[in-house]
Amino acid sequence: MSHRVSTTIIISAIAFMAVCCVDSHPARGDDRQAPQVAGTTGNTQPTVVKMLTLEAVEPRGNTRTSLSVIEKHLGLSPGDRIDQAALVAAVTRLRDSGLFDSVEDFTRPGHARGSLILVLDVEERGPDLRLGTGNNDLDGWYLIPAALSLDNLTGHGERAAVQLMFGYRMGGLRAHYRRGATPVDRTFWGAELHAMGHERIYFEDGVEYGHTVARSGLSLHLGRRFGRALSLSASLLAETVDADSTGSVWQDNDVSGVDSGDDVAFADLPAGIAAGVGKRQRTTWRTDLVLDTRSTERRSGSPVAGLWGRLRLGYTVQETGDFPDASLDLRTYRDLGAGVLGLRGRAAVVDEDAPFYDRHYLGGLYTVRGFPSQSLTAPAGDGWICHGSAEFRATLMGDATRPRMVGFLFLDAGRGGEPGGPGGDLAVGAGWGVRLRLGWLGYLGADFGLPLSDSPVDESFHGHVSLGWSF
Amino acid sequence: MGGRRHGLLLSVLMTAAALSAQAAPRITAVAPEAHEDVLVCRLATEGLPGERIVSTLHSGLVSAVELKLEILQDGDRSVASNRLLMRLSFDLWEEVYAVSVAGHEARLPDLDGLETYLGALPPLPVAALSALDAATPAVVRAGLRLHPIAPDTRGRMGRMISGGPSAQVGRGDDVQEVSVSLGRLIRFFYGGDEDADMDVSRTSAPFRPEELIHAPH
Repeated sequence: MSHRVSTTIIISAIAFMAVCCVDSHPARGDDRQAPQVAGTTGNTQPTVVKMLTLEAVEPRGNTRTSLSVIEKHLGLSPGDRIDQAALVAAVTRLRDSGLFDSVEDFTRPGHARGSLILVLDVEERGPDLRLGTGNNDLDGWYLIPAALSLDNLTGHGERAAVQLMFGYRMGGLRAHYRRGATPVDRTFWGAELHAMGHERIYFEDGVEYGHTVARSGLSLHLGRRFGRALSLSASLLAETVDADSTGSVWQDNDVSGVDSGDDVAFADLPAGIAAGVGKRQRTTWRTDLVLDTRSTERRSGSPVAGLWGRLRLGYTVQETGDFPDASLDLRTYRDLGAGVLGLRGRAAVVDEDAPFYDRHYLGGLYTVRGFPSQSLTAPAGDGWICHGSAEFRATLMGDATRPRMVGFLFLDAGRGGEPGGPGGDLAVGAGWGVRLRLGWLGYLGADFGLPLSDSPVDESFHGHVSLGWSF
Repeated sequence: MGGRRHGLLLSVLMTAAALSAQAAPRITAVAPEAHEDVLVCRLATEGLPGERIVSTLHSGLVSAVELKLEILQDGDRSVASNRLLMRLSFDLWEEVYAVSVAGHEARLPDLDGLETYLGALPPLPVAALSALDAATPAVVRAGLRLHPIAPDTRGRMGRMISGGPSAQVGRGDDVQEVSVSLGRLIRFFYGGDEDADMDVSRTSAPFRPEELIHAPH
């Protein structure tokens, strides 16, 4: 309980700071701004003057970052034909790369008519203490209360950090080193060390239980981009996983007479959970094929067109039995004028030898809303699931390209089962939600879903709170 | 010989002084006025447009000067503000400069003309007079920031404290992270500099709204 209280306090503090950041800088269109004397206040968009030729990029103040690294992050190289918008976008990319604390830019005429030299006065970033947030499909959202960022420490444009992180159902330490972050890098690779504890949730007889699973290991990944849209990567994870021999009640339940925190002895664990307890040392090979054609143009917090898809194939070797797994995740977006329609479909399958923490569960923010997380699947998890979501997103406040608040309607559906066996009932949920943009924090969200099929809990609706956007 | 040496020294000093002036734009005066029901402000500046903007203009690009005009009452309480983007361009064929800000457009035949124009800017809108408490003394704080390459200013405020996002790379889109530099965040809240995003700023003398002179039409 205290864990949840402290999480709430920290979220509130960060949200408050983010709101302060927003409020401290009234955006254009803020009602406190002055009316115009005549005409417009001045267009914030640069005018396209003409096409020019970039003769050279001339960085100054860089002591360890090479010109080639800077050009990669700019996405420009000498000889490119550019206009003002392209140049502004390139310098913005460089600023956003995080390689530098400051980037001041100006140009001077080149030697040939119609050419220019881009001069960049940069201040390289040193080690930096940061805080932040994140989310992923497995753990939901989490906070990063402290992270030592070591980005670009060697001047190769690398990403490196040591992060302390904890969320509603996870916590731990992670360190990573990654190279090849720019869009023009064909090859990307990296390594990650982690020591995490996860609380895996399952439902039985309407009671929500948690089971602690500790994971620590080292992963290496190597990938290659083929053009702008397609990439193929492979990773190798050597990991130790330790599932507790006992569980605990996660939420009070008056009907069953249990309280949050009550222990669940090994003998009382569901068979599928009991089969997965104990320590396992294993190695997992994973291959990802990713297609990303999403538009960079955004409306109502979403790309206005395009597709993101990932096919993942994996194989885990461990003493208690090797097992393969596979998943296909597709997300597509369409501009409908008044808003954006986002569609997501995901299918995943894993072999029966997989322990419960590698199996699939339905219910919650990332699968079928309107139901508590993981509530639609038996304690041991499913061997396969498929689920889909449709969201119609529209701007409620602010500029549509950078909205302050977005509202949406959603319809989710999902089903799971065992390979070769009958599938479970189709679960359906529908509802509405909002996303509020809080400065650097990104989107804070609340979703309210109505269960349109049988629910394992006695609820007329279920609310979900999130940081970020599930898709 | 001595005369030539003195001449050379004088030339070097003048050049250095000119560069120094170029590198440090200043707001030398902030004069609020009433224009019908709008509070406007005249700014006098020095050092504009500066060497970098001139160089960029001569490359064929558009430059900008961002202006932040803010009314403070009751000490440092901000009651209204306005941000303007003054756009500067240079026609490479006709070799004339152009400036546009808040509906004012000017074409200037040479660099001297541009410097003169920027030295005494036309009245710029700050806020509706109704936004002010008429009985309370107020000041206008004006800040300016040079953008040699005219930007898309949306999102710049977020970047100012975020120090760049830290998105996960190469792990698929099921992991999303954002982070902020703790040092920048602390400076943002406790730095005490409300104009941290401006290159220079200056505050007008205190005035009472009902005492404002009305600018000529």
